[in-house]
Amino acid sequence: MKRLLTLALGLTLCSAAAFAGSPYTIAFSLKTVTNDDFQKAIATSIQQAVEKSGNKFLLVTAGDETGVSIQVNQLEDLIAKKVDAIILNPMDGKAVVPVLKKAQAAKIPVMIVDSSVEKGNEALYLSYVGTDNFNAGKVAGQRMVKELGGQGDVLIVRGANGSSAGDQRVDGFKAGIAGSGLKVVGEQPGNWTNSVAMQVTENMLQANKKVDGLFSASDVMLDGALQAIDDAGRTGIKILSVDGSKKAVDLVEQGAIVGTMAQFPSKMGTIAVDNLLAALDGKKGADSIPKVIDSGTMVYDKSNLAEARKWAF
Amino acid sequence: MSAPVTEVVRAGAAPGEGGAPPTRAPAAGKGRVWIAAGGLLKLVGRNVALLIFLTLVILASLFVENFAALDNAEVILKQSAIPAIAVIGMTLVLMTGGIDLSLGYVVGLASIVSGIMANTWLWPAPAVLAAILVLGLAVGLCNGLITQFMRVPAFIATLGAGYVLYGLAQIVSQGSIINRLPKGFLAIGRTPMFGLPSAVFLALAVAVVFHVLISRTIFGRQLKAFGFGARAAVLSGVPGARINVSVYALCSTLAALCGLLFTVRVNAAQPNMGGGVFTFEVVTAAIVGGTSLFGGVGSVGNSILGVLSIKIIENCINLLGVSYHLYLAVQGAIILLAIILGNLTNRRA
Amino acid sequence: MNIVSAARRGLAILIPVAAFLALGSRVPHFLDLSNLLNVVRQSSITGICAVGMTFVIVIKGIDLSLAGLLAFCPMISGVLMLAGVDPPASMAAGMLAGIAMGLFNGLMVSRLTVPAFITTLVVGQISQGLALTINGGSSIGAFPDSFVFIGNGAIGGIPLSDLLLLAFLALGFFIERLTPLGNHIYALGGNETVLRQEGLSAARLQFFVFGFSGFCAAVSGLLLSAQLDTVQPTQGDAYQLDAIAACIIGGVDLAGGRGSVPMAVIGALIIGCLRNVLDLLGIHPFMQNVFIGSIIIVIVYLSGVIRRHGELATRGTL
Repeated sequence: MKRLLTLALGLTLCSAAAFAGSPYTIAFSLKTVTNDDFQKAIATSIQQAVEKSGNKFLLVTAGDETGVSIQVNQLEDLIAKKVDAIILNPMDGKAVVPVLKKAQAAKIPVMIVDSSVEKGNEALYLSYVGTDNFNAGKVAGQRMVKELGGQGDVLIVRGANGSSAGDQRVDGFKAGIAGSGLKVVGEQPGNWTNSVAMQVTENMLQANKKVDGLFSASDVMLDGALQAIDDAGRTGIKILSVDGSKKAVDLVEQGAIVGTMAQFPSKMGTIAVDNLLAALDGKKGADSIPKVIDSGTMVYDKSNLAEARKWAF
Repeated sequence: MSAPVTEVVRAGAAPGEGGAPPTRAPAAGKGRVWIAAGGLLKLVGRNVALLIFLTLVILASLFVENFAALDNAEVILKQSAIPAIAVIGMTLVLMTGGIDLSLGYVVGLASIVSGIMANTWLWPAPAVLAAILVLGLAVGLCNGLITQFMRVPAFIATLGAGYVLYGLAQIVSQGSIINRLPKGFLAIGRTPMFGLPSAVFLALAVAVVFHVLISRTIFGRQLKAFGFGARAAVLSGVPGARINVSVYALCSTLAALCGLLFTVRVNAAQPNMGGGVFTFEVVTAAIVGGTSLFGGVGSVGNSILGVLSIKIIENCINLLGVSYHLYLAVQGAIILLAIILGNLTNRRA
Repeated sequence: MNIVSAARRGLAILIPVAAFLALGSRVPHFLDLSNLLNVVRQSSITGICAVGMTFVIVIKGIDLSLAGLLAFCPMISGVLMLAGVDPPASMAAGMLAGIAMGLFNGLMVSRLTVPAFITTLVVGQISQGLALTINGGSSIGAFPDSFVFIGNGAIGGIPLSDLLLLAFLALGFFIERLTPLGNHIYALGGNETVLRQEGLSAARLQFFVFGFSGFCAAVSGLLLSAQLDTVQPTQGDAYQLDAIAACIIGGVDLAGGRGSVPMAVIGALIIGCLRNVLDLLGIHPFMQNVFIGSIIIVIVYLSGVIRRHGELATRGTL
């Protein structure tokens, strides 16, 4: 807490120092930063980048995993508030299209981070910065095939029903193991929360006496899944996950999981803010910013712990 | 209206027997099953919750692979222990005709606060336990006082309280989770006893205490009277305000205990533990257990049977590998069928 | 006396509203016409649900199937539209689905004595499950322009959503005050002996009330999807408790027998304004939860105080 206060104070001072002309108000809208280190890391990096440049940061969260329309309402409110720019992590790539049109009509530039907008609407935003969730899942799938020697039964702990990022990761994982001898013997939603992840894992282990691997759609459900495996007295289950959080890197080091498909939330945030500010200041024309900026994916495992520590959030 | 009620209350007098034997039922010898069945039949005829529970156990044993096994019963008991504690508190509140929608958010706040106390402040386990119970009590008193003295309907008072508590949990945690908690803290709910974690026995103890409280004390009698008709009860000398406030206080205290036990069970403290989904699961369990939403009717044992029934359904859905999209739909359909079945047999009897 | 008590009740909600507007004038951009129309547009989803919900609560029921129906009904229409069926027919199909689900709720409650809480919760879960299954869990979108226009278009500067809310308010008010049906519904919730004396069937009324609530849910789900140009299979979750809260804020009594449609709609508008103001003020999301929770409690407390005061006064003067 104290550290946070100092940080906040420091940032306020910095922004006061950098205060020149009228600052921009830049809002970041996303689903939630609660119990989600990945989203929190994006939000923190955006906040730091915005405030370091002397501008005003505004965080807006829809609160619930399922609050798609709440996010759209909040974006409408931001347009009514006449913020200068919006950074958006859409909860549903299709549902934000009408409100993006409204933002365009109000001449408020929008940057997209992490999750993408439905294809065919590229004219509605400056640029998309993120990683391919499907691909992250696919790499995990291929890695699972390698770890299990091409044979075995695997479980999947999914995200919440209706979450496109979660679905893409799992679809990717299934594509990654397609054609091998791996079989998905159980998949249930862990709702991005440990208590639910634990219960469904317990039940899936109960249904399947032989399980060789487990894929979790996010690091945030690892504690629950691991506890269930521990309690059931199962050993030797190879576990892969997506996110690349510090907690997951610790688990890799302890040998509890094989690896996590790392994305780089802090890079996403910084790249988004830098490009957005360049456009706002007129230093960069909208056409000189690429429509898609890949912030990269990487597998963290035993072989690259030092590198992982540097980036993990 | 009053006739079926006394029936339910009477049937509720023997729920202690309903809580424990499910694990043994499938394994018992054939001869004994028949003798037991004769005795049970009478009880079952009157007790819808027990009927639903036994029907589910029998159907699942017959048709679901891997269900009738000792280790599966163990899994179901472990999963039921914590909601069983929560459902007791909810039953008390429902018996007054109120509802506590903040329950799941008390769980979340208690979870993250207990994690901070145990992991960051390094408090000893008993101190954490005591502090969490006090936290729950404080929240519950607020709920009770707002409903009783500000005359805000329970639905709104506790819905609003839920928002506030969730906000507080987020502020306290700054959105993060705390994992890998100290051993001493985990011992509260994970100490093995007779092959089960201590949380199960904790739940059993809470159930016994509250069963006695409802069925054998003046408080229990006053609670039922108040639930049937608040005005008449108060006129005949029941301390309505005290009862109304104390059920919310007890409910939140038990919810806070659940938050701590969930944290221990999952070995991670997180602000979004429980939540609205958990609240509705608990209310559903209470209703499957025959508790009336309009007050007056409810029993600890039957509500716990409701929890066990729901956990059995969830367990079977997983064992059968039902599509994850239809998870809730199938669960709901089975609950609905069970209640219809219960109503129909009860009507005929 | 009816007029007096109605006026008192009106006052009970008008004073908080006036206070809200007075405070609102201190919030930058809140009273901009475009923002106010926008708030009404956002509240239209909760508001239309609240119209159906009011009757359900008046007969001592509750409808928890909204969350599922708000996604299931438009999902049916959406799939049909993308398959080339023309929008009006597709929308009719979605509405029929809503009515059917509502009638099913009515059947369970009236004939099989299942508590409304359970049957509607379960019907909601089933609808939700079907909404997820129909399209494999993902959202669908890019609907015909005529459909999207319903959610985002305007006539004479007033959004169609606002007009639709107004239409449902009028419909609900009409049923409530100007038809015998309305009287019967209130009798069912308040004083069942009246109902029996007149020889009316409670079951038939329950069918109507739950069916109507299902219809409202379907319309509001379709409107939401038109606004988003998308059907997202969990889009209804956010509105479930808001619709009930809107009714209670508007003075609908969960114990049955009391409440009115216009007040419930005002309740929905209050919730909409509250969220809008917190966004406009740029309150941190964590604190937003704390504010929303406490403000809702305070509003209901104050309106309760005013209403009770009014009732006492009415009783005293007459």
